Amino acid sequence: MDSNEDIYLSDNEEEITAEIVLKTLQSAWQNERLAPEILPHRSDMVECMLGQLQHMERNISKLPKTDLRASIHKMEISRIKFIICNYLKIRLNKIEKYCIPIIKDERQRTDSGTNYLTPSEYKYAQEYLLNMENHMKNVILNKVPGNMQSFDMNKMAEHPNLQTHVFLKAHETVNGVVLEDLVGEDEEIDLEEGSQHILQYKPIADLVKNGKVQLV
Amino acid sequence: MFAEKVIELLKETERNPETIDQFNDEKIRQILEEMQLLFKMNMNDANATMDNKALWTTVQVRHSALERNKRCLLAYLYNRMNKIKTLRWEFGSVLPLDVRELLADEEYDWFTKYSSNLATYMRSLGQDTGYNGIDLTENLKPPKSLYIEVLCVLDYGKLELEDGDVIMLKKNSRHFLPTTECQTLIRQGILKQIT
Amino acid sequence: MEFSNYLSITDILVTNERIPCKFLHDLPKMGFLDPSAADDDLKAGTNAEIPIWLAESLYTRRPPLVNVELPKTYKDSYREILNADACTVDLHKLGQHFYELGCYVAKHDIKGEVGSTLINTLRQRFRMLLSASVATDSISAMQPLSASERLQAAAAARTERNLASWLQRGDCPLTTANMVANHRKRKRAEMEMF
Repeated sequence: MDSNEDIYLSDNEEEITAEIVLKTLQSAWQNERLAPEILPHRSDMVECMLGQLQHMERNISKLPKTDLRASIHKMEISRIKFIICNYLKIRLNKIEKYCIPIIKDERQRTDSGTNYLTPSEYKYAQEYLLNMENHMKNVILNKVPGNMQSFDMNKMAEHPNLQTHVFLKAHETVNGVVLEDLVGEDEEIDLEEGSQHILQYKPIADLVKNGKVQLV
Repeated sequence: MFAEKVIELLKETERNPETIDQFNDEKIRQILEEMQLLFKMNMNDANATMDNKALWTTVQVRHSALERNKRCLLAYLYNRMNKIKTLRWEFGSVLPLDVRELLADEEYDWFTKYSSNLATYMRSLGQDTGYNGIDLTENLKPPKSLYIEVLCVLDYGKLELEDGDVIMLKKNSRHFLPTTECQTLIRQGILKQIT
Repeated sequence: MEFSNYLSITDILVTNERIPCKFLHDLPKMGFLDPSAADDDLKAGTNAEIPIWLAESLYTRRPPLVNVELPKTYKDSYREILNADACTVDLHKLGQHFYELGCYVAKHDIKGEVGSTLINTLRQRFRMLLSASVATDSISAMQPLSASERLQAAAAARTERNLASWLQRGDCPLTTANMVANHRKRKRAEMEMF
């Protein structure tokens, strides 16, 4: 990849290098893989990277087929494409599995402008849930006795297990992370910059979302 | 005991977690019938609770059984929906006839809707940058080399490569192809990577 | 509990297991719940084993219709064995869903001893799980594991294998998708039958 080449992020008119975009994308991908719940989307990075890929593909097509540079660039492109596809696919899997709580939470987040899903992901989730509801009604619910035909969202909802443990590395020092004990006794710990820990996901969920820690 | 048929149905599903079985129309019909019967008994007894208060608890017990049956039927359907999703990711949007026959008509309907929702989403990717969407069912594994050697398992026919070359994929023929252009065919079991 | 959602088949099978209950009220026409009784009606005071899902729904009524008792696998004598050396116990025979069922049972154990036995059992058996996942003779090592232990060990074994093959060759060949391969295998098997 041409890391010296600067590209534009149209949103905030801030210049960042392709290398930083790739790094940010990789870390978002890694977090998404390891976090039990859906994280705020980074479609800015995805779009930016796709633009860069297209640029690279155009350059390659100008090179003769046998040029070694073309092969190296092609390899790089498929590597980045893999990351993007895998990242988006993991998000879709979570969106499908937890569609009921995600849509519910997302409705509130959209009102406050802190949405986690991209507009297409949100549309996908709603359509998915609608199809699921209709399918269950067509095959089962419409045929059971009258007083129990409802599609009960609250019962049907599947929630991510936020109590699961994760490995993490602190990007910066965070003081006073409160860990809840099983018996209700809270414990406070400090995460030092660069240190690594195994902790329950729930107390550090916000730190993952604001980039203070990285899941590893 | 209540709700036993539906457990047989679920155990059946559990036995073959890696494949999808024929939709069990007949058993589902029987379970729905059992539910209608329980419901009717409950209607009768509910009307009689004026004379016999204890009957009310009986009605509640039957209602639990009805709810249990409903839950199991939905779980059966949902489990199959997850498998049908896998079919979409692995076979693509066109199912082989022998697999399609395993689905109920409504399930095939659902498959089509799922597939088109997915396609709409994938088409929306990268539109701002001029990409006409990205197929997420490709690029499933990190690439290790640009070209790989493959063996053709089935008679497939012509395959046009990105650079315009056309090759013939015949059973037992060997080829040296760009990884990006044959991974879907490998996933679909048409080509096999030789290592 | 992650497995205990409405549409989970595992949870449905776990809640299909029977546990002993004492009925606190008369239940007209429900005599069949107690196979040893010949009456049409079920009398208050009857003891019978019924599926957990039914027991739960009867227990949560106000007033409760049943009293839930501990199945023998979770009673003192078994707990003593488990606490002494959990690794000697064949959980596959004792109860496929030992932990999951235990979670339901633990609620009805006022002294809280079932809960601590569950944790203690898992703690003791963890090493056994680890060795089962790297065992060469995996079939016999997996034998005494409960259903969820088997899943864990199999997942660990899979990770172990992937790591080993990656370390050896730094390569993971592209393969046919799982369901595609399995459906084709099944089709072939069906064709051979005729």
